[in-house]
Formats: sequence, C-alpha cells, structure tokens
Amino acid sequence: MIATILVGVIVAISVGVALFSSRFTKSTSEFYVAGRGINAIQNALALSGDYMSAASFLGVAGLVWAVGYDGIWYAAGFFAGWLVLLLFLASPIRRFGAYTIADFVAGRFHSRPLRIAAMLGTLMVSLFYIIPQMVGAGELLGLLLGWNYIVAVVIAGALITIYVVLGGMRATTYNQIIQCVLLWTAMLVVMALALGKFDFSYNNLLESVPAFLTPGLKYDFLNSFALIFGLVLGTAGLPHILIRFYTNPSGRSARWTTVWTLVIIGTFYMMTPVVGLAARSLLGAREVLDAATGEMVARSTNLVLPELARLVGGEGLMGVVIAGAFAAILSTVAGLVIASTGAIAHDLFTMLVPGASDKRQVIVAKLTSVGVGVIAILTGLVFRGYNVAFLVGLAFAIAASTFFPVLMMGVWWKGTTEKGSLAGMIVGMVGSGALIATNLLGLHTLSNPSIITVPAAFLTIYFVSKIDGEPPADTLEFMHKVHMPEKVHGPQE
Amino acid sequence: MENNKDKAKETERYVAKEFRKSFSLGIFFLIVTLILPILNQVAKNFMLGNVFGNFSVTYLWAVLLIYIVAWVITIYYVVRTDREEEEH
Repeated sequence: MIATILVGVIVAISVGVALFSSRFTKSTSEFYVAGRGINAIQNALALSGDYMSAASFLGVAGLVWAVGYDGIWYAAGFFAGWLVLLLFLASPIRRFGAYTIADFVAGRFHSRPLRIAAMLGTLMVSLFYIIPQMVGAGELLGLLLGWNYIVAVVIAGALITIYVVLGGMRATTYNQIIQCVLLWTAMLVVMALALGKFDFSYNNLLESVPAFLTPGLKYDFLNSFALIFGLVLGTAGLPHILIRFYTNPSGRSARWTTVWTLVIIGTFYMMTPVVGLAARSLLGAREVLDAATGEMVARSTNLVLPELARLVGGEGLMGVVIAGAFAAILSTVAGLVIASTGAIAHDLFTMLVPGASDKRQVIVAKLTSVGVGVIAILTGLVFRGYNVAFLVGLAFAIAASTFFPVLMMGVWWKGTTEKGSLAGMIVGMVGSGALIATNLLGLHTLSNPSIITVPAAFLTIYFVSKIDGEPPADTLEFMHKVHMPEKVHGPQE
Repeated sequence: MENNKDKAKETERYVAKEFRKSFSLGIFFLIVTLILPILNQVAKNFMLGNVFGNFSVTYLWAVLLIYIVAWVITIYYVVRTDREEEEH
C-alpha cells in the first residue's frame, strides 16, 4: 500500500510539473532546449536523472547479483564514458548551438544525406534505449500492483508521453532533477540498511560472497574488453545526453555541468556493487518458489533491488525503491522521447517543409512525441524478460559506433569531409546493428560489437576523407566557433 | 586578407593545444580503464591478490580507482581550461 502511494505521488508530481511548464512550451527553443537557460547544477542533476535509467538503478544491481564482478563492468563503463564526453565533446557541441545531433553534423558539413543518416541513427539508438526502460516499467508495476505486464507498459508509456507533450524540455528537466534526488537517495538508503546486515562492514559483505568477486562468471576476456570499450565510448554518442548540453548557457557551463554530473553519478555507481553483492548474499540463489504453481522459477534480475529493499527495510522501503525506479524510467524515457521527437519533427520536418512557422513546428513536435510514445509501448511489449542493463549496453554500442567517430573527427580534424563522415556513420550504424542482430541469433559470441565497429568507422572516415580531399570551405570558421572561448566570438544561440 | 590568415593560424594553434591537452588526459584515462580486463587476463594472480581484508586489486580498481582517477582528471581539466580561456 505504501509503495502504491509513493508511486502515485511521483506520478502526480511529474504531471504537475508538466502542467506548470506547459505555459513555457510555445516555441521550438523552449520545447527542445528549455530556452538554453538551465544552469550547471540544475543541468547536472537533470543529466544524472536522465542518465541513471532503469539499467543503472535496477539492471546493474541485478547483474552484480547474478554474475558478481562481471556486472560491475556496467557501473564502471556507464561512469567512465562521461570523462570522454567532457574532454572531447562537451564544450564544442554547446558552442555550436543547435537542437539535435543532425543539426550539428549538417551544420558542419552542410549535407542533407548526413542529416538523414544522423536522424536515423538517433532513432535507432533511442529505440534500443527506450526498450529496456519499458521492460523495467512493466515488471515494476507488475510487482507493485500485480498488474498484467501489458497494462503496466501501456500506462507507463502513456504517462511519459503526456508529460513530454505538455512540458517539453523544461518539464523534463525539472522532473529529472526531482527524480535524480529520489533515486540517488533510495540507493543510499538500501545500501546503508543492507550493509547493516553485515555490521556495516564492506569487508564482511565481500567475505560472504567470495565466488562472486572473480572476473569471468559471464564474460570472457574479449567480451569484457568489448563491453567496457563500448560503454566508455557510447556515452559520448548518446543523443538524449548530447542534446542536454545544448541547454547550457555557455561552453564553460557545459564543462561544469559535466563535473557535477561525474560527482553525482560516480557516487551512485559506487553504491551499485555493494547493493548487488548484498542482494547475492542475503537473497541467495537465482531461483525462487512460485507460490501460484509451486515450482521453482527464475527470479528476474531486474527485480533484485526492490526485493532486497523489502528484505532490509520492509514494504515501505520497497515502495521508495519502486518509486525511485519508476522515476528513473520516467526521466530517461522522457529524455529519449525528446531526442527522437527532435530527430523527426525538427530534423526531418524542417527539411521537408522549409520555412515552417515556429508554432507549426511545436505542434508537429508534440504529435511526434505521441507517435514515439506508442512505438515505445509496442517495443516494450516485444522485449519482455530481457535484462535491462544488457539491452542498454547494446544502445551504447550503436551510439559509440554511429555517432562517436563522426563527432570526434568532425570536431577535431579539419580534413574530415562530408563523404567521409557519411561513409563512417553508415559503417558504424549498419555494422553495429548487423553484429548485434547476428549475436542475438546465436551466430557469434561477441555480445558488444563496438570493439570492431568503432575502429572501422574511424578508419572509414579517415580514408574516405583523404581520398575525397574536399572538406567544407568554411571548416576553419566552424573550428573557430566551436573551439575558441566565448569571449572571442560571443555566446552562441 | 591578412586578418583572415591570422585568425586561421590562431584557431589552428588553439585547436592543436586543446587537442593535445584533451588527448593526453583522455588516453591516460582510457588506459586506466581498458587495461583492467587485460590485466585480469594476463596477471590473474596479482589482480586477485588482496590489498587489505577481502578487497582484491581488481575489485578496488573497478569500484574505486577508476572513479578517483576520473574525478582528479575532471577537476584538473576544467580548472585549467577555465584559466586558459580567461587568459586568452
């Protein structure tokens, strides 16, 4: 009962914030980037809420519970990617001043095919990221309310869509701030109470699960390396994260946003192994008795954290955890819906209907949000039962392969050409998609393809650009705009 | 014309300097991160050896060292870049 009330409160707050923010979403700038008026700490909290999805909150702890040390790769990888983003892309991307990744590549290379490829890449990454969130939402509401999985996914998807349509980026930002605080706190409380079962000794906890502290329970050397490689580089190619940098007032603000984000998510990911290992020690084996059938059934890895919370803190704490997880899902999917909406309503629509009024663009954006919400619900129904962190890992692999090479080369190498970028983006996107599909079909054992597709995309961009030899005429102006401090050329709009 | 050339040279110099800074810090951090699975493979006994209590080298590396290195690099990079932009 307490759990249900807490989730109800979260939902009420989210919708209330959206209604409050709806008065601002009259222009495209407000809808996509909140008028570029979000300060560094607000943005860091929102980014953390956006980033710490069901995969981070439920999936990592569940994987650590299931496979011990090998699950920790996800926590380390999800965190480490932020530094790459800070060092190479955060400031330049903000200084360019745009709404979407497609805007960025199209602005750099003045290319319609590249804009389309970036739009498709954004949709592909966002979809792979949305799927696990919807899976998590369905399982959580099933545990909490005993709802049928299908009903749970439909209601969660509808709710998220409503608040993006009403509030755009501003509502999404405020909600992500609230949700970040909630899920970080929930993780801290569960960790503290779980450690209490081991006399508040981390060492005692490790002593209770010696078999789970050794690498190799799930991933061999190649797959461990490929996984962390993909996670580290994938963060810097995630559309819903990159577009958030556009909401900063300046490049300097974008850097400080990343600093605060690294503090918030770093402390969060340091807690996840503790919680996962405590769950292994306290909850025990993988199978549980199904009261309805009397048979032993596999426990979903996605529900380990709420179960641990119930064990160490009762129904009330489980309610807090489920509310936190639901908040994580709401905030992440909202960010992804904004990114996908930008890809279709901004990148595609403005290309097909040049000169469309701002008001018309906002209407198209809101209609597109509804369409994306429907797709999120449908895909959530199809992928029932998959571990959410594993699925998010695949989204990272596609992002790392599709966007990271072209953004890096476009920002840092003046010799990059339109043809080189397009070829590299296609190699990364098609290659990662094909290797993921063939892995899921059991044709090979490489679960994260970025170790092959990221270098392939970089090499393709380099060699095709060299052969092409025709970088855009205004490359130097672009470099000046994205690299020189604001005081040299003034803030970007 | 001359003005454009100067601007181009200044931009190229600045980009090269920024890249050297970001690249050296980035490569250092990637080594710290990506070498972990390699060491787990080639120096298994050392990595599984306990530093204190039940904390092994590989466990501390994965749950502590990566985070500390990232935070130190982050602060160093941001403070240095802010200062350089002020001085520019």
